[in-house]
Amino acid sequence: MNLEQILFDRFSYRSFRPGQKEVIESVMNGHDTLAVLPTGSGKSLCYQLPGIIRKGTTLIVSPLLSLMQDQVEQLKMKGEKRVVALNSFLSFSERNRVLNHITDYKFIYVSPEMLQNEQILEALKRLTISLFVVDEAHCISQWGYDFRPDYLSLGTIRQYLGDPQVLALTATARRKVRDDIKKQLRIRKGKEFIFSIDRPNIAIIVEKLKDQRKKQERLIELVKLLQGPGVIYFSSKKMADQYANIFQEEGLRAASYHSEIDQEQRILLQQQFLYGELELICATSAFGMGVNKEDIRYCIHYHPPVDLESYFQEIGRAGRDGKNSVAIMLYSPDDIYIQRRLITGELPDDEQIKQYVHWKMNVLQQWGENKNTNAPEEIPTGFTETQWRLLEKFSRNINDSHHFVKEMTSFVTERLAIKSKLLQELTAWIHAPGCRRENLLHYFEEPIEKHVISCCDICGVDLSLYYLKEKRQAMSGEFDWKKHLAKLFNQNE
Amino acid sequence: MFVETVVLACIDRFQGERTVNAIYYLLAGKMSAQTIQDVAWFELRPYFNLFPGLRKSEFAEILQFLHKQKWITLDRKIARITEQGENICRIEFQRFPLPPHFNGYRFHKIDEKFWSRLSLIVQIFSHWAHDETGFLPVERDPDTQWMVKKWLFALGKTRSRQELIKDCYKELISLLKMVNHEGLNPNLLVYRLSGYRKPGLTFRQLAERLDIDEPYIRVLFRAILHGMILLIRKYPKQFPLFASLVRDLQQPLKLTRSTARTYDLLKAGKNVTEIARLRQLKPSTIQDHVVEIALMDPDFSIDPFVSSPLQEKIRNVLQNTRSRKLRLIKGYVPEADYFSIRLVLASRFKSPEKNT
Ligand SMILES: [Zn+2]
Repeated sequence: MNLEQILFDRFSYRSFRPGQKEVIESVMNGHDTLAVLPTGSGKSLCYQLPGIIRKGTTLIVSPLLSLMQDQVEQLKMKGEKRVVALNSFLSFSERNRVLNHITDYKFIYVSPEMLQNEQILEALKRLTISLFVVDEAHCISQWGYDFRPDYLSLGTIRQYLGDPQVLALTATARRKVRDDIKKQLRIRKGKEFIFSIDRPNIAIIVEKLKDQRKKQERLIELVKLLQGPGVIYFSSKKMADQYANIFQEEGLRAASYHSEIDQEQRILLQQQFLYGELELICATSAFGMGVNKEDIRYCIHYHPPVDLESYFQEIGRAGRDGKNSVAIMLYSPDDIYIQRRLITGELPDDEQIKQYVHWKMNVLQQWGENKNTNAPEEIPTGFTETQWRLLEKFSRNINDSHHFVKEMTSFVTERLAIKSKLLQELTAWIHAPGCRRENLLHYFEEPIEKHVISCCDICGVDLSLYYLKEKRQAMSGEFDWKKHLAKLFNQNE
Repeated sequence: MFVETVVLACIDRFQGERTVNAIYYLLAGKMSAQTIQDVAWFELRPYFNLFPGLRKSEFAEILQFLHKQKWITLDRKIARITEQGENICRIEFQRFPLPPHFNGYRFHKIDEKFWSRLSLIVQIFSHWAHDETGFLPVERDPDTQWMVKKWLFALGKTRSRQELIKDCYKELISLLKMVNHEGLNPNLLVYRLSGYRKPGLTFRQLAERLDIDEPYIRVLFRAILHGMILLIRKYPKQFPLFASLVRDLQQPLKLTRSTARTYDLLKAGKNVTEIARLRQLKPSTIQDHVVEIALMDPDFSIDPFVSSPLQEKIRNVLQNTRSRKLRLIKGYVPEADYFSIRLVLASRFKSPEKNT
């Protein structure tokens, strides 16, 4: 079988990107496979190509709803219509329609939450699953970036579905995380592929500043100097909004992007960014996954993230086209408080656990009744969505409130310990002497191989390389609906 | 300020006879018999589902703000408007009035569906018109994608792609001209559409460019959709493509199971007493059902239950008193029973086009 020919016929690519072919061959030969491929290397092809030519259904577990939708649409664009996403966006009737025709689908994307649902598991059991893909497999490990408790049951689910062949994909995974992935997914033999995650075309810069005020000044200065398109990461939605406004007033085509913006608007923003109508996105970490923009020239962290994995993922969105790009982190000593708050904010504290138990008892009258039927219309005030989801998840399987408090508390304590450790490692990296790239690769247990010219601020980078080259485009002019409509329909007005 | 103004207006209408929660459910568009009844009794139809995504926490913040400004008084869960608040409300509504055609109840969910379909077909036609077949749809709702696929397939048998594009364009232009004529700005709709290499603007971007509150922009946008649907339904021959696009968009009747059974028996020609006997329920329970039906079904007539002159009389009283305490109303029309008063109150919610 000529894989290149299939690649061209079905995906219209002339050649594989580094890593893809090895992984696909391993899958085709029937091995359980764990692959670590850098972001933007076309991970999805590793299961899409085998899925198209092999018999049976490919089941893909993916944690990110928007990403899932994008992949479904992309597959459809490539002519594969037998594809569906099972997630919470589906209405009850749509879900039933899909489940009744489940055997018609060749690719089924499913969120880990949906796999907790018995009706769905029953339906999936009717299928011949040729490949069980776990995307963003690092979510399975407490040591990975973006740990998701729902991923922990994937091993059991795999067994329940008759032990299909596994393909675990991730962009960042240290030894510890890889071992976790294999253990949880019950991969005993199987092949492992690790490709260099280094992105030599991205210069890595950390600028240390005295306080938030100095950071603010520097940010505005940088944005005016640098050649876009660019992304700036903030730790809060409010700041992302605020700065998007500031930059708009400076005449830039900027917008903010975060989880409070509804799906339709987010897709519009992504597409505007893709087509160059926006040159700057002020984002929270919600931005990035599924954004297939190749020419992002800079990425600024106004606040450092909480661990090096997140940092690496986020800067990795720059320079997918291989051209020179720069990642700049603005750091001031008081950032540590913001980071600590980010870490603790995701988890419920003792008081909130108590409050939750109290609320739940009221709703159910008695702990241990059928808990799924009483879905609240709205999260009570004082909880974030992440906290609430976690509490709901834990309470679902525990039928005794004291037991619940104990389990929840010990989970939170453990998570905090791990997260603090990861934060320490990030902080240590910021302050470490020596080449930043080397230190970063060392963290990911990878030796530095090539000498990179524009490497990092320690090795020396000429920032003016990344300065504005083109004249800035102004915002578009007056509204004229008739003209606009004629353009959309390609008609004469 | 638009959301704040609307909350003020609702507080004013309720006259302290309902809690602030009732206002929240009304604005967020909760389809329950209680909320619908409130809407009908207090003539709040235009406000129903005005802000579908409104969060309870946001609503609480708005109340606090209004309270701090001394525009309302707040006692436990009951809010009352102050004189200052009344002034603000009037002035703001003059600047930003509720747009014509807006009807959050009648087009509940229908407007959303219509927009999904419209934005998807425009995106498809725009790509076809530029000889491009593959693209990432902005609209991801599988139901919509399915429906549009079938729709295009059926139309494909009658004409070519180029003809289809042209016809759709013509219908859209003349629809929007009519909408424009009635005081709504088509820019708000057209610039939200996505096409070939031209993603639409977000609500926030529109709001920024026009320097208008985002919630108000959203309402204006939906008013255009409502206006379009009304026009399409009124002149289906003029807009054959769009008429086929909205034909199946109907509001399902949401009745409790027991009420639905009563309704079946009513349709079979039975009266309240007979139904009560048949179902072995109290006549007052059946009356409750009838009131619920009158609220929820715009096609239901109360004429068999209340004589026209009495209806007229009760309506007059309702126009002259702002309270919705039944006992008080009955004081003005002693000959009416509570059932008749409740039916008239409920029916005020009907035939929305006539009343807006
Ligand atoms: Zn270096």
